[in-house]
Amino acid sequence: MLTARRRAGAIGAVIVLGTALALSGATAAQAVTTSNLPPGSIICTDKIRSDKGTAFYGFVRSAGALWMVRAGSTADGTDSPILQLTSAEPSTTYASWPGTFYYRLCVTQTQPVTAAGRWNHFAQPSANAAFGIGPYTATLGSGGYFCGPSTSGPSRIVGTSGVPVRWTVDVENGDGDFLRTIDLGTSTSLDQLLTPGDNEYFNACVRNTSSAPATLSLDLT
Amino acid sequence: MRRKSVLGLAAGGLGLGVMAVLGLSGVGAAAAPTVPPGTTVCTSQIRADAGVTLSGSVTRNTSSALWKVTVASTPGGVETEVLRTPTGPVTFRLPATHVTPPVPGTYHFRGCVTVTGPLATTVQIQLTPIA
Repeated sequence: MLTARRRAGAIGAVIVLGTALALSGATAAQAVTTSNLPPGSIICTDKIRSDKGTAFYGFVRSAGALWMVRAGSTADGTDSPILQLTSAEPSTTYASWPGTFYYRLCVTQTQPVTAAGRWNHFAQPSANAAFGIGPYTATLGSGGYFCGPSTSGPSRIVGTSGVPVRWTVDVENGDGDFLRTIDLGTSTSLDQLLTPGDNEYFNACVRNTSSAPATLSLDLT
Repeated sequence: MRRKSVLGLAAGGLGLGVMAVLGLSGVGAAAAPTVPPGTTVCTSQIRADAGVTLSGSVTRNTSSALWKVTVASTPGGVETEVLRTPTGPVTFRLPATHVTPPVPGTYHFRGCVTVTGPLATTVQIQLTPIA
């Protein structure tokens, strides 16, 4: 999917992290991910197209995680790491190479504990920037979850997993207030149409309810 | 803004070994003079094919700093910023940060740190090629 469907805000994240989004130079569109990460879990955001680089900040409680920015020259081709660091709470970090690249952020729980996390991934302001390209991908340990893809318009939610997982949608209003959760069931695949109401935003989520790790993808198209 | 170049300790021109800079004198953190806010300390350029690792710290843990890596296609050529990340005032140590080009090639990297305040401090910065 190639559309600017990320909504403005992430006000909660800004407050939680104490990071001033206004200082980041970010556009309002961005990918916001909330998660709970069992050991060994990896979550990769969908991709951002940018000719002016990308940036991220976030946290994983409490001992830290491996943060990796990957870049590739095509939307659906291979990519490679361009930035790696281990931190519990990286401040706004910019990675920018000359040219147009498709960037995504991958976060790996390297500690032997389950930890909550949240991060923002965005592009420098540019007319060429695009967001929400392709799916989120993840390897989630048992009990792990994340919420990532979001939309304010009619969309298909598409997911696949190697083991049964529970698919849900968190509904928020324009102020970021939580309204309700829509349960889409437990399965290894998902393909449903979503239609948010007025002033509603949908955040697609998945929880690994199986005992084995889940290798999965989740997208809104 | 003040900008001070510092000496590397190894064969940076060949991109071999460690290009380490400790403080402004290049002889170790303990001997490094204190620098005021606004001071920028940069390493020499090192040539690398597979990227570099930047790390360092400011020794006064109430100080903030801004860390950058720049890249040029030729020695002494025009440098482009490819990494920018802050530390401080709570976290004053930059974790080992690996910077790798998205397109294969040989690049000339430089690491810089700017003391953003509020207090004067010594700094340590290290830039090493990734093997």
